[in-house]
Amino acid sequence: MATVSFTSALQRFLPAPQAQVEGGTVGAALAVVFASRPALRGYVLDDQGALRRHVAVYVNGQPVSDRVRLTDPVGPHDEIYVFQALSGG
Amino acid sequence: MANRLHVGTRKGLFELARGKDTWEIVDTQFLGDPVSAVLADADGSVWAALDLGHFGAKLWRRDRDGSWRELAVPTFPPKLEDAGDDPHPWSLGKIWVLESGGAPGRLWAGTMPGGLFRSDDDGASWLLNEALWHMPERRQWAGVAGGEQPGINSVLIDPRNPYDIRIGVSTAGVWASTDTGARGGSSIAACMPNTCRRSSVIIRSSRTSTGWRAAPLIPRSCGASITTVSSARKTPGRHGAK
Repeated sequence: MATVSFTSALQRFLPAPQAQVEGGTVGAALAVVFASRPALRGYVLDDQGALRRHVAVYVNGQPVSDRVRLTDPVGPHDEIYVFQALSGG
Repeated sequence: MANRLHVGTRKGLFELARGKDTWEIVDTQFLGDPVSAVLADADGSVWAALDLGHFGAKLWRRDRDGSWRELAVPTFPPKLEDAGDDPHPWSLGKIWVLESGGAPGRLWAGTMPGGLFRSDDDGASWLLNEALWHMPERRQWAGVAGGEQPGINSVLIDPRNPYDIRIGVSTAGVWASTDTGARGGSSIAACMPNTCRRSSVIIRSSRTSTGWRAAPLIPRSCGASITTVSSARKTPGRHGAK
């Protein structure tokens, strides 16, 4: 099972606890989380299902390369981290 | 005379009550978060739209019992394959204006990019006005300075005719529906500005039948907030400056 963790900055707005999910891809792993927490989806993805411009997702410490279709592979022991990107100066 | 004010700011939502000599802040919500639109209903309900820098546009409602809860925001449909050259994103940037009108429980949201959404259940769910969104001229709408998307900053519903809808677009003038904005099956006509200066705009409204038509502007002006002044209403509409 892959681990999905969310930035504590989200906790101001809604619960976003760590989750253990079946992966495959980043998109599939996040979809499992959002299925049980639908309100969380709009905080991470835009209306077209791409990552929000100022949200960053890392897999095992590396930023995902596909921010639009979320096709980066996720193995059963991988760690996905969702947090806010640093923006501006 | 109003005894309550709901003030949305870049740093939160403030409710002010009229005191003997001054206005006093009686409630503070969303402290530190940008509030992009507020709507207060006579029954005590309040809707507040947030423009969170990282996490997007959000919508909250205060029920009559005083409790706040998050509602679903309006969302744009999956982008069509033939819309690849659309300069505007098919994704909600922020809710720029919230209005009520046309029917009990009906709300309107004007957004950036320029989508007009309607809710018939007090904001629990939203429907995009497809006619306006798919109108070819919509792609010509220009955003405001700083590279922002064009957006709808004003929505007016004629109190005598719920299908007579006017929207102010920054910066693309005033657009008018005179038919079935509610059904979303109409075309829409444009009144494009040729100047960009702040000025008064007078639109003479009339009973309408079917179809969309241009809204004549006197004088011509770029998109600015619009509001109603009507003898049919005892109280003036909400005012705002963008």
